[in-house]
Amino acid sequence: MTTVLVSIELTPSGDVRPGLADLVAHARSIGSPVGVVTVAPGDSASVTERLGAFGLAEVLVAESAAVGAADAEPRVRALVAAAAARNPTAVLIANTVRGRDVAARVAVRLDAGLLLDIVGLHAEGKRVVGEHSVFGGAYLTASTAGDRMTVATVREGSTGEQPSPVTASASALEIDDTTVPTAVITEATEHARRSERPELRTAERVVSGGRAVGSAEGFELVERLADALGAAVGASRAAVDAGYISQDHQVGQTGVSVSPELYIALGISGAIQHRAGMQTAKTIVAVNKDETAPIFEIADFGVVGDIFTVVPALIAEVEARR
Amino acid sequence: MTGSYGADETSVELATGLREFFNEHCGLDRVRAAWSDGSLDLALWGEVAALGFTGALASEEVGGLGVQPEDLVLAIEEIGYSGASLPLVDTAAVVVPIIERYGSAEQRASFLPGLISGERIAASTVMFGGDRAMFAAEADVLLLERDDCLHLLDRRQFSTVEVHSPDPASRLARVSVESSVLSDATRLAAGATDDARGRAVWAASALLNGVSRRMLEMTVDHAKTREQFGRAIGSFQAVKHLIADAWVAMESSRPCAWYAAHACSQGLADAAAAASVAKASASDAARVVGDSALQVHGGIGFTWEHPLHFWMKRGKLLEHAYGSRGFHLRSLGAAMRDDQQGSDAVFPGL
Amino acid sequence: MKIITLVKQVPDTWSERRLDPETGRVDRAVSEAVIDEISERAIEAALALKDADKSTTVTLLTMGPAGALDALRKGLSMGADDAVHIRDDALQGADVTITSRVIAAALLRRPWDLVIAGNESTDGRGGVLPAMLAERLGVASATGLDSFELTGGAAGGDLVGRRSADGVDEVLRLGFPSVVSITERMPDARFPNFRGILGAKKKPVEVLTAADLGLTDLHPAVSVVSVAERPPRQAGTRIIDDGSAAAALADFFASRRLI
Ligand SMILES: Cc1cc2nc3c(=O)[nH]c(=O)nc-3n(C[C@H](O)[C@H](O)[C@H](O)COP(=O)(O)OP(=O)(O)OC[C@H]3O[C@@H](n4cnc5c(N)ncnc54)[C@H](O)[C@@H]3O)c2cc1C
Repeated sequence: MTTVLVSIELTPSGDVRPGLADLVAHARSIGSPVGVVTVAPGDSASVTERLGAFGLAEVLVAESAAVGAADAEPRVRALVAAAAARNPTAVLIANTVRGRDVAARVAVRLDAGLLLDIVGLHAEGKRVVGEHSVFGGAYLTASTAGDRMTVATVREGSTGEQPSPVTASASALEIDDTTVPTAVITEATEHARRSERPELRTAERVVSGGRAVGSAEGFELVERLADALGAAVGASRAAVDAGYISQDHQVGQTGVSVSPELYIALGISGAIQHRAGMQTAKTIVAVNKDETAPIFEIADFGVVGDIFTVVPALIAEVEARR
Repeated sequence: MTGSYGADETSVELATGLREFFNEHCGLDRVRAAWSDGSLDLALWGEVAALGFTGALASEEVGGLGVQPEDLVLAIEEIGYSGASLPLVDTAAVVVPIIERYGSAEQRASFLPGLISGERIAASTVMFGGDRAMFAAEADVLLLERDDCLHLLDRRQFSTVEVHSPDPASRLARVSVESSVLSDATRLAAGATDDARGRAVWAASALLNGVSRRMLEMTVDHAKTREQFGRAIGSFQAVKHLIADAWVAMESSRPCAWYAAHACSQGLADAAAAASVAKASASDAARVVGDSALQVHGGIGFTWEHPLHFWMKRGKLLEHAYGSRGFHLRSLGAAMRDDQQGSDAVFPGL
Repeated sequence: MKIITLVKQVPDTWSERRLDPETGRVDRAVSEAVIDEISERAIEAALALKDADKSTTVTLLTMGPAGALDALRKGLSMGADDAVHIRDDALQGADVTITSRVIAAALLRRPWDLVIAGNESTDGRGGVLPAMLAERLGVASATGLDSFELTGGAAGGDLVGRRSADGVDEVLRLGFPSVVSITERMPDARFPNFRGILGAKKKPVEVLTAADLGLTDLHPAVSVVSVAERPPRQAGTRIIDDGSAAAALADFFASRRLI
């Protein structure tokens, strides 16, 4: 079996992003995954323990004093060192803002082919082929780096697979700490997130609110329905621009692309740029008081009505039927 | 929709810049607001002036941009199209260039800077019929036509009384001026009157063509989406013909405004005739477009909840202001009769 | 300070966008080409620095077909000083590897302190170009900034940027020369005024080919192997709320085993 390196992205507090499950699942479809992680000196053991839960049996751990202070660079060096040691067919990295920086630099340093935002991966003979969902899912394309090593950024939430836990074993990876120009992180704070609410990119259900929600306080209505359905919370750009909710909730062309089982759009008109981020959802439900709103063109179930009356009643119905 | 008649890159770029600005800053809510409170939207005026519109036709020596009139035609159309009701035509297309050409050194020094920067607003009675002017009450400067002469007055030298306007967002006033005020000091040099008339007329034609273009666009949209007997009404022959006729009228009017501006800027012999042709056809097109818009909309354009209404009313006002179709056809007829060499000299360029 | 802003012309997101079924490249013929909204914001960010310090120069750089000149013109009419247009038929359909090589080569031809780019284009959405450039040029980068400011003077100062992405708020500091990319949280672009529009034509636009940049061996690292169009979604049931919509919706959820 060929080796596929899987880059692990940790949050400032050391949590593993849930999207790692997707990276591992894609890696498995073409070879055997080997995790690569950088941690602050002394943190190796505690991280390795948690990685088993994502189905990673083998992890290469680099300790570096620069972790948490230097942007991208420690992760880049660890992947380059791991690639030299293991000669992988592919290196998979989450398609997050930080992940893309890492992928960009690793691809140049390894002179590899870079596949972007893949939602599927398979092998055709010796070639690694990545699948992409383009223009909001209007097209599925496949591309390959041919004989070159593949570096790919992976769309979190693209497999929906649950990993089977294993026990991870770690080996140390040496990286040098030579200084090259890099951005320095001087502050990092994690957004407070209700731990019981799923993460938007990987959620199976998403409830989104638009401009119609009207205020930051009004977003509580969206959140209540989300919680009743065990869904993540999303938003339109208009809602984000108005400051009702933070940018990482934006779904669409310039926000997150989601493909959940269920997507509920509350008071969202369904502009083409919003649709680009959610129209591949399995089931789409829309509530909008304008019967000509374009969101209805793609909704499996549309309600022409006021969100402020329909949504509270729906929450009550859902709770009553549980 | 930009024509190929001499409309060069500059004019398209200025128009596009203005259209993008209006798309962002002058949505229906702003058009509606100007309608309901009937006051001049000074904030919008300031923003458009800051884009450089008010000084566009002034030369660079006096702080303007030195744009040629024909390069401003499409931009003026965009104002009509946008629904913004601002005294731009009078200020930018008439008063500023006329002061620069025919004003005394003192007049130029005391009037031009404020008008070019947009700090001051001008109104003009030229071609507006007697002593009336659009936005005269709001104006700081008045260009007054009296006994075939033009006078330039500041706010202390004239008073206004509001008169009814068919378009609540384009306020009209009657101006009165004590005869003692008019003197050599207020008078502009000879030749100003004809030049100002020509400018007012081609600019109003361009503005009106923009109004027509918006009405027609709304009509086409309506015909495409509104269904009767299970199909879009635009698929019926009768509706198609109505719209096609309106389109032909409008598209044949647009180049006339361009030519009139061109004739004006080049000082061609047929400048006055070209202006009359432009306004006669713009008024005609506005009437044809307005009528078909009403029919296709099934009369809803008459109720003021429907946005078509704003453009219909502005169209009606402009159809008659700055000389109606009949007025301009009569002038053309008179010019032909007076002209010994016949119509070739009246229309050398057409 | 010398700034270079990267500009991209893209198919308008408001229009229908298509891929060429043969090549998998964006079909530029079917949709109107416009300057990418994020490029406009990147230009705005550069011009804001120029507003604050008149000695700042802003150069626009694009790689694209002849029509991409329109995008440069737009930026020049907003107030940029000059532009570089890399225009070469051989670069049609270039992948990010080629694109980053070509742009890096163009950047090496002139002195600059800061490159500002959009975080991702609306057609490619790769979001990797700025960091690839920084890597090729051996400089620091900070991507996805929602805002940034310059500390200290032009010489010896730093750039401090904020980003909020993937659940983390960060403050990043970096020196010059460097590459940053900005998000749509940055201010909207200014409208070009008439003076800017008229002046844009007189501003210099340098046109370069790959050969001018000394690049002759341009081979894509990645090739498209297949393109499939998904059937568009169909509208399903639509009801008008008469007080019973919530119950109908809950039934719908139940029928699909969503509750
Ligand atoms: C380059 C570019 C990128 C973009 N990227 C994105 C993106 O990533 N994501 C995104 O979402 N947008 C994006 N947009 C913006 C997009 O064009 C729309 O402006 C935006 O999606 C509109 O958000 P909205 O539907 O919440 O607001 P609106 O379009 O204002 O719609 C509000 C809707 O709420 C309805 N409504 C009002 N009150 C009620 C009520 N009480 N009950 C029920 N319904 C009600 C109205 O009928 C209306 O349909 C982008 C635009 C551009 C140009």
